[in-house]
Amino acid sequence: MRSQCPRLVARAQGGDLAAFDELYRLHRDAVYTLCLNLCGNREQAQDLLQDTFVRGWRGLQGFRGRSAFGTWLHRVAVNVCRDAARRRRTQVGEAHAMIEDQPGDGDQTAELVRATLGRLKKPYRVVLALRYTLSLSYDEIAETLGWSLPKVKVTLHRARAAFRKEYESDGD
Amino acid sequence: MRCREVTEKLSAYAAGDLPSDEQQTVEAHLRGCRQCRRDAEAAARSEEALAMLGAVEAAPDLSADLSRRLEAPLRRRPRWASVAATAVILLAFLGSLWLIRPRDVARPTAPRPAVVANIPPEVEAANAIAETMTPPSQCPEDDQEPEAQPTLDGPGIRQRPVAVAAHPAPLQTAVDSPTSWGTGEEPAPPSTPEATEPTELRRADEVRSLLLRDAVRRRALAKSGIVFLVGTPAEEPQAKAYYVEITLPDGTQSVVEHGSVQDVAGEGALVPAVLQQVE
Repeated sequence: MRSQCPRLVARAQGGDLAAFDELYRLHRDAVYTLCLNLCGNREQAQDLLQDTFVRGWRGLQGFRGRSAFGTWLHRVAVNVCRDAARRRRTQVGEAHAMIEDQPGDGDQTAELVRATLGRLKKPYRVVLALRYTLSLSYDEIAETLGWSLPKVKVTLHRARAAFRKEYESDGD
Repeated sequence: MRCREVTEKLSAYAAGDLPSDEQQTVEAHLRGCRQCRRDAEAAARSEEALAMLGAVEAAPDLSADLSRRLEAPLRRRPRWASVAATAVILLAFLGSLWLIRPRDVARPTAPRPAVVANIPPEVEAANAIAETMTPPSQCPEDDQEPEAQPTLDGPGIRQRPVAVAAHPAPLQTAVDSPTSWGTGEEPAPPSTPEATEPTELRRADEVRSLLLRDAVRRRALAKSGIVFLVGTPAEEPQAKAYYVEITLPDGTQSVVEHGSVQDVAGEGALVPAVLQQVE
């Protein structure tokens, strides 16, 4: 299915909304989960999902095909989530509280993991989300974030250690 | 491998990101170290938890909402906003013009020698502009503050009483050194008779260009306390002969006139010597 992307992207760049709708159907789950893991709130994640595709549509002419469309779109999603967090001044604690206020909505362990993730520094949250939500390789994370490969490795290493520390403290 | 090194690698080990040789080394250590084994188990639990993030959730179908947003035209700024922005830019431009206008009314009112009573308008304008403007120059030192000019601070200058900056010039207009007046000749040392070699100075626009050309030298001359005036002789208001009158801080006057240098105080070598030092 993803192999259809270049053709669909070309059509969408020509203004074909139906082609872009098809791209949306192909990528929405991954983008939604990424947004959910980054913001920790389902309602907000829906808004961020829409915002990502709206921004993607408006910036589609700037996509040159140097990377996969998915990589480009994930970068847009990360930027949208970052901007939203700035705008709303979302506190880490708020995300945690919101998640805990939604009992029975999804797997509780997954919610706890998201809450733990939400307490980490933003760069840690982003690399962990990209690595574990989208199963991106180090190279793909570097490409998505525009980071160097060593930076990705170091940040991911520190992020894992930080997550483990937080997660263990939750279990105590 | 020591415990500390192993602990550093446990996250990557649990994630399966270690190269095989390092993985084997870590495993060998874990077999013999209970504490590191406990840490490795914690790392494995953490890794399992992170793996849950990979459970991609089905996004709600928002395609209808999304289509509406995509088809909606971009919100544009109201027309008055662009008008206001244009007005602000225009006002800023006019304001900048007002700020950089020549300020000939604010000049200090130092008494002028009687000999310069008849200054032609274009030369007067040159004097005014020279006081207020810094002309474009290829010299990178032009952007420096006058205090940064080494010319007047050197010990050689202080040894020469005529070049010491005792007070700011009341009506400072810089005159270039003889070298830059177009002859291409270096000024002769003050001790030689050739020091009074004629220097070309033919037209008012030439004077004006000299005044505006070299901001570094102009600042240096201004700081020296030497007064420069450009004009025509009072007794010949229509004369084409322009001159530059130089008044040193000690009151000594020199005149550069008709392309020649004449020291009215009788010390023929003084003017080029001063200019050379100031330069």
